[in-house]
Amino acid sequence: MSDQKKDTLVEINIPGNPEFLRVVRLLVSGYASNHPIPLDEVEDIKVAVSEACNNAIQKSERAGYSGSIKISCWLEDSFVFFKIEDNISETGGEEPDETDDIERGLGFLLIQTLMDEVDVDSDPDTGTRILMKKKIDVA
Amino acid sequence: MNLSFQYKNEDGYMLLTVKGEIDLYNAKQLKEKVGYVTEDTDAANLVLDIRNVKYIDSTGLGILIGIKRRIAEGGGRLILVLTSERIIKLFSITGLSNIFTIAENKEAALKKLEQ
Repeated sequence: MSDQKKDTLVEINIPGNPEFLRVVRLLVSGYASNHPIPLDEVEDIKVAVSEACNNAIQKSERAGYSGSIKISCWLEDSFVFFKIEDNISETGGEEPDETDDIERGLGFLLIQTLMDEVDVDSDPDTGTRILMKKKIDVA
Repeated sequence: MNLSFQYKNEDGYMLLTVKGEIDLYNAKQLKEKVGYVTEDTDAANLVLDIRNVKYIDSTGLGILIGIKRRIAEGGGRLILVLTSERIIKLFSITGLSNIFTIAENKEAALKKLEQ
């Protein structure tokens, strides 16, 4: 881990429950307020991170149990990074319906458009990790 | 956080005003409220004023798509009253700005209903 990442890393865990989405958005706003990120870009990041958490929470709802979602954010090399990891299995739960698929498609479209780079690593048994980054003007 | 709603049964349309942040937690409230107010009127058209919605996610957008589809099936039209540049940006990214009829105020919405 680089010194810059170590010095700027913030991590929180939330239950896989939609009532905590507001906490996630507050985290993004609060974290961004400590760094020179333009307000419009803060709003972009807020949407993208919230959508990534939506994906985990909807998996949790279909699985029928409240999994855990870890959100990490840090600065490195003029980028702000957000990593959203869950431990929610997709095997054995309800299948996503048409509405879920439409919403998930819209959600990933928003993430991919609003962030500069997105990497998704998903395992049906062990969970999903979404790493996203956005370039910022660090003074 | 819950959404707040105000609705008014006008001549030929229902006006529903929504305030708050629409996300996975509360998007179903919007779906239920629209179902409730449109059952309570003969008007097929809905003017949905979301100028005081400060945030909407893909769940909320999905609900709006469902509302539009349901109103169209009943022979009506949905007009969104929307001015937030942030939310218009999300409509644009997702292509929904080409699907929804969007007006900047109630008067413009009524003109679009007459078209």
